Amino acid sequence: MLKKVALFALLFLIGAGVGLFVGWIPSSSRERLREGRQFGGPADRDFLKTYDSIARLWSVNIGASMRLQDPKYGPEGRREYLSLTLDAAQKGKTQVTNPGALTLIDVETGITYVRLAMVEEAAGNLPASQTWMQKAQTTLKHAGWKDCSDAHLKTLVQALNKQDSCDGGCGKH
Amino acid sequence: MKAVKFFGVAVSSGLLIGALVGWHFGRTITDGRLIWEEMFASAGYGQLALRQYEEADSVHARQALLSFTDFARSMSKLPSAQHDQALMVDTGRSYLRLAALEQLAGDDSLSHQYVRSAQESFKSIGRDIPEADLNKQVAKIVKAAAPVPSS
Repeated sequence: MLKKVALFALLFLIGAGVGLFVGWIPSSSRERLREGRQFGGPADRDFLKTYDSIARLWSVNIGASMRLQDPKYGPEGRREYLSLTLDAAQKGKTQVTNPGALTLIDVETGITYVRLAMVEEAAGNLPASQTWMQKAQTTLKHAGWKDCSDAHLKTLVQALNKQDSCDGGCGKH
Repeated sequence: MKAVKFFGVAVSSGLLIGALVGWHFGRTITDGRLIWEEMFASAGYGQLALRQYEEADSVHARQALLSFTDFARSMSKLPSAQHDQALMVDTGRSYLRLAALEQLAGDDSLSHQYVRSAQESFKSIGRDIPEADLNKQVAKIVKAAAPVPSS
C-alpha cells in the first residue's frame, strides 16, 4: 500500500513538474507579447532597443554603486563591477540610434571612468587613475559638460555613488 | 489496465495542477519583471537627463530633456507603465525645465508651449495644476539654475 502511495506521489510530482513548465511558458510569453504589442513599426523597434539598453545599463549601474559604497569590496571587486557597467554601455551604444540616448550613454560611461579613476587613486595607482580621469574628461566634455575639473567630477561622483546606491536600497544586502 | 488507469490519474492530476500553478506564477512573475524593467528604464533615462540638464550647456541640456520627454511618451504606451505615476511627474518636471531653458533663451512662445505640455502631463495623473502655479515653478527654476549658453 505504502509503495503504491509513493509511486502515485512520484508520478503526480512528475506530472506537476511538466505541467508547471507547460503552464509557465505560454503565460510568460503572452505577457511579454502583450507588453510589446503596440510597438510594431521601425521607430518603435528603436524605442524598444533603447528601452532595453537603458534598463540594463541602469540596473548594472545601481549594482556597481552599491558595491562602491560597501567597504567589503576591495579595488579588484570594484573594478570588475565597473567594467560590467562599461560593457553594458558599450553594448547599448551598438543598439541605440537616438542621438539623445547615445549622449546619455556617454554620460554614464564618463561617470564610470571617474569612478574607476577614484578606485585606482584609492589603491595608490596614480598613473592609472590619471588615465581614467582624462578619458572621463574627454567623454564628458564631448557630452557638453561645463565643468570637467578633477575636483568637480570627484565631488559629483561621490554624491552620485551615495544617491545611486540608495536607489537600490542604500547598500543593504 | 488498472495500473494504466492508476498511472494516468496520478500524472494527469499532477499535470493539471502544475499547469494551473505554472500559468499563474508565469503571469505574475513576468508581470513583476516587466514592471521592474520599466522602473529601471524610466529612472535611468530620467536621472541621466537630469544630470545632463544640471551639468551640460543649454544645447545638450535641451537635447537630453527633449529626448527624455519623447522616451517617456513612448513608454507610457507600455502596459507595465500604466500605473507609473512617477513617470508622468518626471515628464511634467522635464517640460518645466525646458520652459525655463526657453525663457532664458528668450523664446517665450515655446516656453509657454512647454508649460502647457507640463500641465497635460500632470493632468494625465489627475493633478490639475493651474498654469499660473506652473509659471511660478518655471520662474523658480530660472532663478535657481540658469545653464550657461553653449559658446
